[in-house]
Amino acid sequence: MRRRDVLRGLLAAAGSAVAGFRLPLANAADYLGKLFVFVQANGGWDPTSFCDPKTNTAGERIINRWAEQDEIRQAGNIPYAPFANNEAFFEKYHARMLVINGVDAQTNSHTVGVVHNWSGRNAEGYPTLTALLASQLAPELATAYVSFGGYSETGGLTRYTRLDNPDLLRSIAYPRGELNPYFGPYFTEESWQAMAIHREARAKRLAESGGLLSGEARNLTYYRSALASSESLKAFSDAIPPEDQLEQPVEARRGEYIFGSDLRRQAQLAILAFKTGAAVSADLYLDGFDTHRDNDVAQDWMLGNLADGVDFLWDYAEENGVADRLVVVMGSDFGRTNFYNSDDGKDHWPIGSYVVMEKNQPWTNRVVGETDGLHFAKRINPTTLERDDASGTIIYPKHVHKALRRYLGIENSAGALRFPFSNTEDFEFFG
Amino acid sequence: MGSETVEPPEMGDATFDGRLLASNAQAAEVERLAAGFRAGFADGDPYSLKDLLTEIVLSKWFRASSTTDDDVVRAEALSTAGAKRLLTPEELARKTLAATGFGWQRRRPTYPSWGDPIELQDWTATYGLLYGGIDSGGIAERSRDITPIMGGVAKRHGAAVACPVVFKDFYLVGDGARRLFDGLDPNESPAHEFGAVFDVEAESHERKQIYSIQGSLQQGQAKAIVSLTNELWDEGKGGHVRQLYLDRLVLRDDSGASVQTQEFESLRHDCVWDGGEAGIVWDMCRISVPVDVPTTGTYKIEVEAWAEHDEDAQRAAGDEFAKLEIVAEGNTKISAGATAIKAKLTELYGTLLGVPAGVDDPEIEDAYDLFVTVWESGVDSSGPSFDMRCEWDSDQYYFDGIVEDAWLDPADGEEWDWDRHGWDRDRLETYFETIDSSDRHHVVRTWAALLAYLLTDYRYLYL
Repeated sequence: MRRRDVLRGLLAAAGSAVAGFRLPLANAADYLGKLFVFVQANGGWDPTSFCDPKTNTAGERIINRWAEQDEIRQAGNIPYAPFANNEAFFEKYHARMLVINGVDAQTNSHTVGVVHNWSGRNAEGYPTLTALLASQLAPELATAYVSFGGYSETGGLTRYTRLDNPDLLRSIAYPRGELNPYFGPYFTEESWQAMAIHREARAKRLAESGGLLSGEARNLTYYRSALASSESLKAFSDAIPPEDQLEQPVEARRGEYIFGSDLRRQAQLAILAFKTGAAVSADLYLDGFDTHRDNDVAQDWMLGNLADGVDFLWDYAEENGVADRLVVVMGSDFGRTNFYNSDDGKDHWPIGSYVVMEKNQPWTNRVVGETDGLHFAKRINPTTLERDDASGTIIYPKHVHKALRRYLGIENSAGALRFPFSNTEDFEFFG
Repeated sequence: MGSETVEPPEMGDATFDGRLLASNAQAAEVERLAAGFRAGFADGDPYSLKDLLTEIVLSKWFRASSTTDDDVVRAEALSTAGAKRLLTPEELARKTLAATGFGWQRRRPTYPSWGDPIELQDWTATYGLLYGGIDSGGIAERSRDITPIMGGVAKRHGAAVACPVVFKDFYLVGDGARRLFDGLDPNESPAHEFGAVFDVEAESHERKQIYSIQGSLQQGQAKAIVSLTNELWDEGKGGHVRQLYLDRLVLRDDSGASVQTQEFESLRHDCVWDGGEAGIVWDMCRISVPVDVPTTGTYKIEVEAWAEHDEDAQRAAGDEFAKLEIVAEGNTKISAGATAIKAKLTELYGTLLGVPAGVDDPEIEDAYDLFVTVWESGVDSSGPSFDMRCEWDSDQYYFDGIVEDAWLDPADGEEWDWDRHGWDRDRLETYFETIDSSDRHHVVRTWAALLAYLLTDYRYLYL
């Protein structure tokens, strides 16, 4: 029995056994649609030093120290703060960038902010857009949704796979030990296949034994799928370069602080997963934006690293032939206060931003949404996208998610309908 | 319980009815437990955590194992009921250590940890996140649904563990001290009926002797397997220096009448050289002689043989004679070996999977079928020794109780020194030279495959 046959059988069985999700088949290298990266800047970035730049207002407390000697700059139609690596980043990418400012997360809580920004709802249970896209666009893919950390709720629509260590991934893709120079291979291919066939037959009997609780039926369905398709990762594994040719994690000391990031490596692995058909969506994760002390020192390094990582992501995507299919969404829990606290830090502020990026689109090189000089969100007309204090609405994450669902063609998918944004205005962010 | 209590649903949730039913029922159960905890369960003391935990484990929510209807709302409401859940990486590591005695990538406390948390002194430090574990940083929630990558980890775990466990049980500790394979003859294959090993004292054609085994054979096709079990290789001469001469094999019925005769010099086999008056053997391979058993009954298999060594070999061999093994192999479905293997499989199902099964259970028959498949695929094509390259050294406790001071720890307060600490490779090499790791009938390697298979069973990976 071939693996694909096993999985087809599982798919047929899953409909009755477990409602609400579809089982992955093996590698689906023939997927030629768009590919999605969500970059989660965890902890609460400071949009006023990035894509919603603010200078100081007379009579108010200082909002940004950089504004004491510098001005807001602009790349194409997009203003940005002269801070960190922003100049290089915005100058290079403004043409493929839509900035959505003044997004109200309605919270100062990290937990709620993360859930709200990455699922569109401020209570747990809704899936990330990463999960929705994976479940709708590549339900047959074994590892459609890869995560390097951060919020990754799937709502039961699909599963996400954590990717951390390429060497381990290789050993998992070849679990018989055939690549290991020191051990194995433990069994012949013939024996290994016999074990797989018997394992599947036995699990199938268990699954069909009747009277199973729905949780156990679900467990068995996942088990059969996972064991049958684990070795479909070989193509992805083979594409990953040796450790010394992978992007290395970086670490930097700034005064008393040590910052670290492996965002480039995450980007590299995500792109290779896309290229080899192992995944269609990925969450990248950069932690360290919660700058209650020495905000400028930390945000300078973190925003710089964030821009560097996303820059690498695009370059590497280009190098590997998938940049034209790539959609990137950057965001965070929320923003930082419009003043410095006594430790030179900035505390939590509910207003944040998203940056959506794609090549060759008419909706890019634009900024939508608006905040005032003290970074308070303003009401926006959903159709004209102009400020409309009388009849407009504040932009919430649900608006961004709803617009993205529509733009990306999944608003009427089973998953999206299962997790709807009812009574929510349609913002024409993408034309 | 391994899962959160069900939160009340929000309007518009697709599974509203089921979740509402579950959250209400669970809220009532939590209230019952809380009240019992405050007042004391039955005649117990108030605020007894022990009683509370007992009550939870005895609750229907925990003990539920099946349902009798297919109502959709009820199914959703019961989606978190029952104790069946995927084991966490740490739980799986502990289970495997307890069941097999092997800790994959288990380190001693003195071994440099390179910053890994001290509590993760095994494979959970490397594969834990990929197996759905947490780092309490960016990844704070365990994966409860197994993914293809986790499936790969489970397979890798099974393969990596099975090899050293089987190796230790069959070669490093004696029968009676084995963890999983006590009472099992490593030469007992699925076709094994009866057999014996003989010292071949005869040294020439003139003094050749008859070596024989006797037992019951079923009517039909059978095999007599003849092997030299102690080949002798001389590095200086670059060749084998012990020859076993096999003259003739005779199958006799219980009246002593000859049923079949086979002259070895005329037997076509890669291991047997035509020596004119006999077949000459110097490798440890299985020489298979097909025999037709006319009726079920008692039979004797006789082999006429003698052995020769050159002078150097005789010196090197000391008093050791050439050893001749004769085995009768029959039908894998009804052989004595089949009975022994099924009995062991039954035991392993209980030990590893917690599944009570009888030898005629379809589960055991299926596992036995796999055993036969793996065995048949390797028995005639693989070498005579256990040649799997095991990760035994990934468990730094592997030789405890077997080889004294196989692992050298630094003294209290002493820094780790790569030249002086860790495995004592010289000592182990000397020890390995004393080990007979033959697997002439490919049985031990087949058990490794079966163990790996059981370690990836649904019932092993889930609670």
